[in-house]
Amino acid sequence: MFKMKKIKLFLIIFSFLFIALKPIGYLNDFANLLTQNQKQEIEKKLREIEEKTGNEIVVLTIKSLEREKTIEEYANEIFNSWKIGKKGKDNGVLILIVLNERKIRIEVGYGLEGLLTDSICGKIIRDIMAPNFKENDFYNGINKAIGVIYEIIKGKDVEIKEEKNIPPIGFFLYWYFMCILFGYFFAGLLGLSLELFIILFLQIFTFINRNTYLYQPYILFSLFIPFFFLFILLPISYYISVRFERKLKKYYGKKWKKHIPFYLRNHINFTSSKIGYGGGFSGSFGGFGGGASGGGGATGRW
Amino acid sequence: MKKLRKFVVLAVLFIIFIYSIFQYNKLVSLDQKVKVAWAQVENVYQRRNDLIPNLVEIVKGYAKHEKELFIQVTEARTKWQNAKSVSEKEIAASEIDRVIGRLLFVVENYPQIKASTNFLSLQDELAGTENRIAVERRRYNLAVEQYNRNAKLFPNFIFVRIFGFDSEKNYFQATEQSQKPPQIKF
Repeated sequence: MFKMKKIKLFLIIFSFLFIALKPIGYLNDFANLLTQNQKQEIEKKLREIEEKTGNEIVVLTIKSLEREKTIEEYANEIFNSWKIGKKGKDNGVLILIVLNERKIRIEVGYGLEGLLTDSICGKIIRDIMAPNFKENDFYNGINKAIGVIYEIIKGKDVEIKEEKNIPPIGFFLYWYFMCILFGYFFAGLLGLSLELFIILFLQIFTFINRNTYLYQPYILFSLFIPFFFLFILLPISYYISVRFERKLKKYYGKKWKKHIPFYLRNHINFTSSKIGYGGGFSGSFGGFGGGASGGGGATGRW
Repeated sequence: MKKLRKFVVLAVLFIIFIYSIFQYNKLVSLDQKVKVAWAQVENVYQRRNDLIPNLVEIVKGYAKHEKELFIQVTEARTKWQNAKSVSEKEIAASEIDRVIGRLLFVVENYPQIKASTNFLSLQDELAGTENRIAVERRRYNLAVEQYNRNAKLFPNFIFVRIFGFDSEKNYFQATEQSQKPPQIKF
């Protein structure tokens, strides 16, 4: 068990080196500008904004930019690879803070360009973020900026989520497994009946004697019919399960975990990238909604 | 033997026919992609064009004597408006680049303009628009690259000719003028 953990930890540490930057939540403080409590507070705030309005505000802090890349290019790249905002609505905002270059960029998704104009973004950077950042007060700068952005964009696109109508995942899984079981059962029955039919057909309407060698292959063939059905059904059911899971994940987003019944929870947590240790670091982030941006927003420095 | 040969010929023809259908559909969708990307580029250019009068208005308030420059601005705008083909638009856009550069250079001499909130917000909008242009140009080039790569591969270029598609689409290149920083003559 201990060894498992070690291997996992090793993988997690090294995955950061090899795989491109991946989001760990709405707040991605990779430059460590905030304390643990401040991180939790901002993450909670951003989560609440998403739950209330559907708008996805993401904060990313990094130490320095990759070579030969402007902050605008980098922000656009991250925005579109993380797919911040809901698909079709493109209601995402990315606040990128680069520590060493002392640069800030607010990148706005297509859907919010009308509300959160470039000049408003510039003003937020100049009047709210930069003054606080100059005094090394990153928490206040970020927090206030989020508050202002929230106020500006909350008027539009209030997404009412029907919490009550979400059926529990356990219900789905139960019926899904039942369908597979019954499917196999009925396929088996169908195969058997076909098999019987062939045997009867051969006996009644053909003149092949039961004892001749000609009869043997037919019997053999008909014996395999249920298995044929099994082999057809297996890939189909696998395909359906994959599609189904993806759809559910998309539908629930980060709530996906909440609805897993208790008897499956341990298993699913084990197979996903959930990390049970390391204070406050939870790898169970489900990703953003699939939004896009076209380079709207503003850049500033402090 | 003869029958077999006939069958093989028919099979090959059938395969070519099927392949040509797929190729045609692929070409249409890639071509459409390039067109959509270009429309997006024009969209952001239009956005910049709409911002220019505001910029002129602000500069006019302080520097009335730069009449020649204002005339050039309107000329550049109408030139872009009237441009039809991709290359024409490109040239006109680079001219607008130059004109905006000159306007901003004029602003440098007037600290009052730079301090005004109007100008600051306008500058944000201009910078945002430039960035949008850069993004959409990059996406246009990506779409063109995809199209060209498909259209130049071995069996495909035959179909490209048969169906009458462009054998190659032009990338967006920074024109020589726009690579130079704007020059001001006094």
